[in-house]
Amino acid sequence: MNTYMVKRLILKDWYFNRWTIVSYIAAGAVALVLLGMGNEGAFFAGTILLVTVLIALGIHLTMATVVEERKEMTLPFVMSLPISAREYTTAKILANLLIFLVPWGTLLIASFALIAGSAALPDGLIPFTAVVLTEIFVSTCLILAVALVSESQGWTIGAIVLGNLGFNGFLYFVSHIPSMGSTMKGPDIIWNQAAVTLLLAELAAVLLLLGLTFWLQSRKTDFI
Amino acid sequence: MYLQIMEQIKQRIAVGDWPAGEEIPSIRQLAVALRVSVITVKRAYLELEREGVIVTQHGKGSRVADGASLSPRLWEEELAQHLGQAARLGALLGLTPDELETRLREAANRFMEDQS
Amino acid sequence: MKDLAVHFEGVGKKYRHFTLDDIHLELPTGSIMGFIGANGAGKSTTLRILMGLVHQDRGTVNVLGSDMPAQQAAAKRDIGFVSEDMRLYKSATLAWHMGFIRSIYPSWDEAYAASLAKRFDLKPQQKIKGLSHGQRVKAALLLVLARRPRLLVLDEPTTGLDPVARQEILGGLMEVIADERRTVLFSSQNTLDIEQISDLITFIDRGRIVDSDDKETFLERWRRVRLEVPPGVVLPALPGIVGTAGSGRLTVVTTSSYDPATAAAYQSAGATVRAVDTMTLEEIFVANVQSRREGQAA
Repeated sequence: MNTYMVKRLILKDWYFNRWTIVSYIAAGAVALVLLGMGNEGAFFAGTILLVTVLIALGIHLTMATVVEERKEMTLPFVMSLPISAREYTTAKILANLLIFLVPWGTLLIASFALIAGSAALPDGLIPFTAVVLTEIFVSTCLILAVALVSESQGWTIGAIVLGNLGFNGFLYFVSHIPSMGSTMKGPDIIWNQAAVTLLLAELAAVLLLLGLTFWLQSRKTDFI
Repeated sequence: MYLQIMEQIKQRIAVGDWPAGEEIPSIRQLAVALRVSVITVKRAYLELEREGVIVTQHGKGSRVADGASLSPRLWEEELAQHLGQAARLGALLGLTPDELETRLREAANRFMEDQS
Repeated sequence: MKDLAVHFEGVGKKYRHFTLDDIHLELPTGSIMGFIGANGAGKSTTLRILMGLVHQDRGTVNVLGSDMPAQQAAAKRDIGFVSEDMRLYKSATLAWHMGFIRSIYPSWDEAYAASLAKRFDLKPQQKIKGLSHGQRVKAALLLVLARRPRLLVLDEPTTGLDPVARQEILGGLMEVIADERRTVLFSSQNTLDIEQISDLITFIDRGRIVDSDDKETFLERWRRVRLEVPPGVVLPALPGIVGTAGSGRLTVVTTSSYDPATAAAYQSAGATVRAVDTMTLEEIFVANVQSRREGQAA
């Protein structure tokens, strides 16, 4: 694996999308401020903004870095560089996920801190928040995987729609799990079996998606 | 195409740009300068060597052949060509050989006058 | 053992509506090969297989000593590739692209790049999206030429360019092989460009290599023989005859293996040879392809 080339490709993608990235980070910062204001309305607004930023960032970046290469016909230019399909795939995955994980990680920790520190928010929300935010990560990986393997705008949008429906369905599903629902409103942080199982399943899904992506990419016989 | 290149080289020699014994550009150098394929220039050089106009030494490049008779030989070739052309044009114009001869003499005289 | 920059052996690739079949190609180091074919003949597919961007179904591909597609990353360090369906990043400037390439290839020659920019009439500070088609092609070529790769692979580099730009490009390509360790392979529909600078020429039609030889041999071998054939005279069937056309007593024979014996054979059969004409590369290509297509149809 030529790490120098992978780095060059990642930096290129970040350079071309620098304003997009900065805008989303800024919006995320605003969401944080709202969450910390202490009143219920601001908290509600902050949550919506936060979740929107996370979901939209993943979609926007994937479209801009993966689907664009094919649409704008720059893929032959990139593939004429001294790289293999594996390096290309690695660079795209890292370029997208590293950007995604920064606000994601920050917001995960910040929301934990807020929930823990705020009297108005029951601490029991923390496991629920972790599970829900990780689902967004899984969804983003799904969109990225579909974009890389299909290289098609149509399929990627399909994955986005699926991810969106999935997220709403997931929210409903999780909050209605008896053991989750009851602990959510409580003052204690309880990592019960449901929460842990869900988290592990989500992480497994991420690994599966990424592994599948690499495998399918390596089997492509027509890279252009 | 290689014939044109041969012509160009012969003219350079005849005019004196490339004196006898002088090194001439390598096949590749000339090909690049003229924007013509290497293989065509190679062919031209081979023919010129066969005619004795240039000499190629393996590994050392090519140079114009020595010999005081070089220029006159090239001039002879050129004269023969031009006379052939003149004969053809004369025939097309319907001139008799005598009329053609007169024209030639006129041209030669005019040239002598211009020189002095 | 020839030093080959490119070697295709029995390469095949099957698509739903098109098949590339039994491609055999040998390109010696230090030469320029021109690749002629109609649209859809398989030129682009062949070049993509060369670059490892498309994997062949059958056969071996060796480029600069590396097997493709397995060792493509290593091979591509020394190859410069420009294709017609390739675009640069619209929102970036030419200067950004130059910096990008420079950061990847240590062989980048900044001074040469600057001189190429001047010759090609390109302003590095301009954004790619503001460039005309011809300028974009020249920009892509500048990026590959300035890093002096050992092998240059170009898919239709002069298509759509004005005559001045074309001559500049051809000049740039010739400069590449001023160094006898460097090689050029380019495809074109413009037979004049190929005829001007190629050492070797390969014809491709409908997914198969139809002919491949050095340029001078092509131009030597092919002739149109204009004959006057008196009634009752039967023309001998000589090897290499590709086509016969004509009406009444005038017949034109197109042959791919002319030598003085050909004319003699016709004379002794009773026909008069009125003229023996050379053929341009375009005429040779068309005659070659037409005869094969007719042969296949029959």
